[in-house]
Amino acid sequence: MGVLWSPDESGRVAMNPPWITALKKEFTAELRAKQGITTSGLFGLMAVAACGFASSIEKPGPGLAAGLLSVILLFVSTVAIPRIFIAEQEQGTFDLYRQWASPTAIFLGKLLFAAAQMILISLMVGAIYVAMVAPELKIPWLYWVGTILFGIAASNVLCIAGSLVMGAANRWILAGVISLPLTFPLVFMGVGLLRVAFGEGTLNGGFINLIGLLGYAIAPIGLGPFLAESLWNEANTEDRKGLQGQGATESQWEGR
Amino acid sequence: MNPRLLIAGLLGVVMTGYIYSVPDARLFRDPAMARILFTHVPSAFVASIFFVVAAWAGLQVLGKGRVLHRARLHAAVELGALFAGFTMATGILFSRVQWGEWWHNDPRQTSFLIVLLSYLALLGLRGAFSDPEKRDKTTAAYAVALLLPAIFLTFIYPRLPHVAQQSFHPSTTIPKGELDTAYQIGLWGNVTAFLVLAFFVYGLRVRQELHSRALENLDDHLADSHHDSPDSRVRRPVAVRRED
Repeated sequence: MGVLWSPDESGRVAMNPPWITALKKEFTAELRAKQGITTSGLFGLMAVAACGFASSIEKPGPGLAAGLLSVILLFVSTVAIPRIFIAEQEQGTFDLYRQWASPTAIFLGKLLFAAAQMILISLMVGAIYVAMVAPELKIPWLYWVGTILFGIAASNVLCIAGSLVMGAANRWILAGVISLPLTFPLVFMGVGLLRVAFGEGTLNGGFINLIGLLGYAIAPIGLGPFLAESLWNEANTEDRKGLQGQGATESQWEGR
Repeated sequence: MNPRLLIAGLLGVVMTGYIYSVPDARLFRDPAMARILFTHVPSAFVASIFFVVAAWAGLQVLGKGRVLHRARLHAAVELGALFAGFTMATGILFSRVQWGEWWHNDPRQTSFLIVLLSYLALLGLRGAFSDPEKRDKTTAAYAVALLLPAIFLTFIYPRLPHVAQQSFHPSTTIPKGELDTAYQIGLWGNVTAFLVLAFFVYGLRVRQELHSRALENLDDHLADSHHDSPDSRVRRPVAVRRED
């Protein structure tokens, strides 16, 4: 099932790569309900407002301001991203989805949708943060590049966490628990980058963190599909074949 | 007697004796407490090795999925978490003695705490699946995904120049060869003893897991082939006598 077929106006059949169709499906589902973007956007706004409230007497310094923004973006992504995977499982549509497309296509479709969602939220949170909480911006372009890249990297990493907890008990809490250890290096690099944008540290240090952040954003694109193929394909292990060879039935294996 | 157990036991006895024979360290607030090095560093060493072993076994589970790899994965995760906990405990004790606080907020302490929490999260994730197949694969996937953050937090982050400046942790003492010869012998001897002991326990845990899984398979197979599982139909608790 490599492609989806869709005839265009002239009657010709166009082939879409499945991951693009999966991405379209995510956008269509989101535009129908608009739950993910509105709730996670609201959560981000409230977090910025809370920081603004807490720092109303004294503005935070560059280091603290960078840390606060990183933590806000991290928690917003923890709320927004695993939901994309978990909701599919809870609605009972995931098995049907898997019949239709390969795990790689599903994962990439969800990952790209999550990244688009986080770009939007990062821009919104970043703008309000500058207006309400942050000290003066010294290098604006670095701030915007850093904020968007942080959002993309966080969403990509959290897609892995979301795909892992899909079938687990207490999956909503577990998603947060297993996401945070994966994102600590990200927070470190995000703080290192954003504090330079706020005027602390050298531009060279900012660039190093920018490259690190870029690497951290790209790594899940390579690792995620591999993990998804292994996790969501349930019929390819050697022991499974061996067990069947010994006379055990499929239902027995499934029941174990 | 198992030769690995014998070697581990002998090394343990020799190294315990050696630890008490080395002179007290001069630059320590409590000179006798410098001996904590002999347990703290080997524990961290073994924990780091098991994190790599867990990730490697995880890759094998995701690829081939053999029972042996699954057993190795679980054993490595458990022992990695155990030795990381031991490293943390001895580190906290060292912090209290040398720096005067149980928690000094040293970057090295914090980064290793995150590594420990990561592996506790891995154990938590493992416990959240009732289906063994999914449990094994998810644990494997997370162990693989954790390797990069664990390497960053253990080896890269504490050595970054601006982080190292803030840290009191004597991370550079061993690489720069500033350790006294008697302490160097004790340290590497203990690293060897810890490694032998840890891999002996690892082997035992792998075997135990394999036996446990084989027993489960056998139990299922017997239940199916002999039809000796309880009948699910409703039965009367007493015999019903026909009345003519």
